[in-house]
Amino acid sequence: MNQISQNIISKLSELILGKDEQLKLALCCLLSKGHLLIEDLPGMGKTTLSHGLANVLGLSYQRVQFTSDLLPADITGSSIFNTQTNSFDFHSGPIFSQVLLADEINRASPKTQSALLEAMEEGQVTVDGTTHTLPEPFFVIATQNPLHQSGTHPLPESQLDRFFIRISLGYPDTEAEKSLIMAGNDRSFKLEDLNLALTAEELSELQAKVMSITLSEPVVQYIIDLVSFTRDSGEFGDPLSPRASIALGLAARAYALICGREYVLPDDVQAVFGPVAGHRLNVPCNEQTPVVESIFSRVPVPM
Amino acid sequence: MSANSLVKRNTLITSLIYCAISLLLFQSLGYVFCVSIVLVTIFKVSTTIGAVKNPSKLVVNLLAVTVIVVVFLSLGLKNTIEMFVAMLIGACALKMLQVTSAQQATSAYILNFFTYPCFYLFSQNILAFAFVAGLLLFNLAQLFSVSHNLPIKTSYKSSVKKFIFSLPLAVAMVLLVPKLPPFWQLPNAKSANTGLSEDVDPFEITELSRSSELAFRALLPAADIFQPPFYWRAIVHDRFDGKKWQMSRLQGVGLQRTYQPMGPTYSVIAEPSNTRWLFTLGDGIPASKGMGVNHFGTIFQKKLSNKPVQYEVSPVDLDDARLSRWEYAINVQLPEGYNPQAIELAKKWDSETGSTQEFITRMKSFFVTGGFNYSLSPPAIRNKHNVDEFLFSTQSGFCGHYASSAAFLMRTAGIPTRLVSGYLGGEFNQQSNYYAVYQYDAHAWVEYYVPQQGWLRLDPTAWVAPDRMFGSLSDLAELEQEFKDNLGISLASFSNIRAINWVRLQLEQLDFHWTRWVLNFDDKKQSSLLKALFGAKHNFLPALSVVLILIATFGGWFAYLNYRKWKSQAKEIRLYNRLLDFGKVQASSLTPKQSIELLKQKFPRAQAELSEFYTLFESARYNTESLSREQYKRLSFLNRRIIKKAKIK
Repeated sequence: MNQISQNIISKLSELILGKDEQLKLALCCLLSKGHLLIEDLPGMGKTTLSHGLANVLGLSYQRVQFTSDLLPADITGSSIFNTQTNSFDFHSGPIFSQVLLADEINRASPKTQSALLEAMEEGQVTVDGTTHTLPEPFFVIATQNPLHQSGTHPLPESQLDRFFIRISLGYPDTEAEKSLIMAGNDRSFKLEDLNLALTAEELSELQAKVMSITLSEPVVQYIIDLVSFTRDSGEFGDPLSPRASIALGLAARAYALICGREYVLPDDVQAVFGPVAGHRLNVPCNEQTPVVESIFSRVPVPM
Repeated sequence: MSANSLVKRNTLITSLIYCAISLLLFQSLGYVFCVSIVLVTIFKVSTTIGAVKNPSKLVVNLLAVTVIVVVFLSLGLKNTIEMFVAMLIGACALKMLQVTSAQQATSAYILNFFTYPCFYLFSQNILAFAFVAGLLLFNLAQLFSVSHNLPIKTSYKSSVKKFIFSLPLAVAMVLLVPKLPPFWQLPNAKSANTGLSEDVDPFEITELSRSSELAFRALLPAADIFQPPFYWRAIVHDRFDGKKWQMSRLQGVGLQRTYQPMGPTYSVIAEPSNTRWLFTLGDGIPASKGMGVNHFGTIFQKKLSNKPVQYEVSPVDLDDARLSRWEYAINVQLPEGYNPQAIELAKKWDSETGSTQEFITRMKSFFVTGGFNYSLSPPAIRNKHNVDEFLFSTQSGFCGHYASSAAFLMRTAGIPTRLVSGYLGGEFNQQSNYYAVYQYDAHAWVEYYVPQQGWLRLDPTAWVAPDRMFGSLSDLAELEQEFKDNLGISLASFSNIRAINWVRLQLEQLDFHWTRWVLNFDDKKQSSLLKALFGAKHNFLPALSVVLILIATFGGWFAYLNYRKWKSQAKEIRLYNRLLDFGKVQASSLTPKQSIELLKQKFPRAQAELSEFYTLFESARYNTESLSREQYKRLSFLNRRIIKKAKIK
C-alpha cells in the first residue's frame, strides 16, 4: 500500500516539481473521497496538478472552465426535445465524469457554483425533475484564484465547507523553477507520459484501507482540543463544525496511510489541520500558516 | 447501579443503624421509644423490599406526631437530654422513610454527623468511641455514595483514605490547639444507673453485686500507707430512720482547717455515676479543681459530670479526736420503737462490758459463733424490725446487713457510729499499674468514735467472711458460683477461661488509657504536655507545629493525588516524560515526534537510542497493539541509556 502511494507521489512530482507535501495532501483528499480545492494565483500549476491527479488515478475526467456567464445547465446537462421520439432527451453535461476539473470556480456566478456544489454533496444531479446519479467515484477538483483578483465571486462558507481540503501550491523553489524553464512548454507531453499508477480496484482498496488506520484515543483528544480551541478562543468568527472534526480524523488517517503507517500520529493531525480547517475558518491562504502555528502553540498535545 | 437503588440501599442501612443505636440506648431512651423505632425500621425494610408502598406525606406526618407523643409520654420533659436525643433519632428514622432522591439523602447524611456523636452523651468508653467513629466513617462513605452515585464499597475506600489523611491533623488539633471552655453546654444525661446511693437500705445493695461495670480506677504510687485491704470511702451515712441509712446535714460542713498530706498524692479516674461523691483511700483532700471536701474527709464533685472524672487526692489524717456535742448527738441517734430485741441485746452487752473495745469483742464473738453466713442473695427482710429479723432469724446477708446491724447495736450502746459505703479491693492491672474497681466491689462498713483516738474503721462483714477483705470479690473462690449467678452474662463471669479473661483485661487496659489520656485531656494536661514537648519555647512552637502538620497533611494529600495520576499513566508515557524532564523540553504543545527531534538536537550522542525509543513509544502510544514485556524492558533500557549518554559532556 505504501508503495502504491509512494508511486503516485513520485509520478506526480515529476509533473509538479518540489511540492511533495501538497501532492500528499491532494492524494489524501482523494483517498478520503473528498473534494479538493486548489487556491493560487494564475500560472502556479493548479490545472496541471488536477490533470495529473486524474491521469495518475486512471479516472475519466472532464474540465470545465468557469466563467461569469456559465449557466448551471452547462455543467449538469439539459433536456433537449427529440423530434423523432417526441420527447425530451437528457444530454448529460461535463459533470458526468469521475473527476470534474472546475477551473477558476470563483469566476462563475453563485447560481452556477451552487449547482455544482449540490452535486458534490449529493452525488446526483436533478434536471427537469429527473434525478441522475453521478458516476462512482466522483471527485471535484476545483481551482480558485485569490479573492482579491478581479471578477471573482467568493464561495459562501457553507459551500467552502463541502471541500474536504484546500491547498495552495505557492511559488516553486529555485531549483524547481530552473527545471521548469529548461523543460519549456513541454507540459502536454509530460501529462500524457504519466502511466496509470493504479487501477480502479486498487483505488477503492486504498480508500477502504483509510478507515482501517488506527486512530488512538489521545489523537482523537488532540483533534477535539484543536476544534474546541477554535470554538472557545473567540478568535474565529466561523469555528469548526463537527463535519470539520470528522474530516480532520479522516484526513489524518489518509495522511498516515500515505506515510505508510498503520496508525495516526499527532503529527499527521498537524499536517492536515491547516488544509482541512483553513478554508472552514475563513483564513486566507497566505495567512494560513501563521494562524495554524499559533493554534498549535497554544493547544497542548494530549498524552 | 442506578442512583435510585443506591439511595434505597443506603437509606435502608442507615435505618438499621438508627435502630441499633436506639436499642443500645434503650436503658436511657426507654422501651416504648425503642419499640417505635424498631417498628419504623420494619416499615422501612418492607418498603425497600417492596412489600409496602412508600408512605404518603400524610402517613409520615402522622407517624411523626406519634413519635413525638411517644417521646413525651415515655421520657417527659424532665430528661431533657434523653428527650432531645430521642427526638433526633426519631426524626432521622422517619426521614429515612421519606427519602427518595439523592439530594434528600445527602442532607440526611450531613445531619448524621451530628446525630451519631449524640451517642457520646451516654457513653464515652473506648468501645463507644470505636462504635461511633466507625459509624461516622461509614456515614462519610454513604454521603459520597449518594452524592456522587458511587457504589458503597468504592466510596468506603475513599472515605477511609480521607480519614487516614485527616488523622494527623485531628491529633494535632487535639494536642496543640488551645482548649477553650465551651460556650454553652447541654445538661448532662443521666447516664449512670449504677453506683452508690446516698440512702442505704442495707437490703438494697444486692443490686450492686450484679453489675460488672467499672466504678473507678486508681493509680497508687508505691508508698507504705497504701496497703491492702483498700477501703475506698465514698459516702458517710450518719442518720438512721429505722429503714435507711441517710446523710445528715453535716455533710455540707467543710473542712475546718488545712492539713499536711501524709503521703504522695494518688490519682483516681471515676466513671460517671449518679452521685457526686468520689472515692478516697481513708481520709483525703482533693488536689484537683472542681472538687470539694467535707469534714468527714470525703470528696465530692462540685458539678455532676457525665464524663469520667480524673482527680488527684492527697491522703491526710483528719484531726477528729474531739467530737462536738451535736456531732455526738447525731452519731448515736436512733429512731424509737424499732428492733426491741437488738436493743435488749446491746444493752445487755453494754452493761457487761466496760469499754468500747470490749463491746466490739463481744459483738464479734456473737457474729462469729452465731451461725451467720455471708450470702449475696439473702432472703428478703420486709419486717419493720429488720435488724431483729436479721440477727435472730435469717442470719444470712452481706456487708450492708452486717454493717447496718453492727452500727445499730453500737449506737444503742451509746457509741457514736456511722455507716460508710464505698468499695473494697480492686483488681490490679500488672501492665499499666492501676487498680480497677468494679461495681461488684461495692461495700459497706462502720466507723465508730473512740475519744482521743478519733474515728476508727470496723468491718463486721470481715468477721463472717474474712476473705472478703483481700482482693476483689471476683477472686473469692467460695462465692464464685453465687457471684456468677448474680452477675448475669458478661465477660467477667467467664474469668476462669483464660483467653476470655485475657481479652477482658486487655480491653480493660485499653479503656483505661483511653480514659486517662484522651477523655481527660484537658487544658491543664495540654499545657503540661506542651511544656514537656517544647520546653521553654512552648509559646510559639505549638503554633508552628500546627502549621507544619497542616502543611504536611495537605502536602501529603496532594502528593498522593499526584502519585495516583502518575501511577495511572502508561509506562511509556512515564518514561517519555522522564526524558522530557531530563532534557528540560517544554513539550506541552509539541507532538512526541517533535519533542524527540528537539532532544536529538540537544543530545546528538544519543540519536540512535532516541530514534529507537521513539519508534517503540509511538507504536505503544498510537497503535492499538500493546508492547510485549521485552519491548517494555527495551524501552526502559533505552531510557536509561539515553540519560546516561546525554550526561556525558
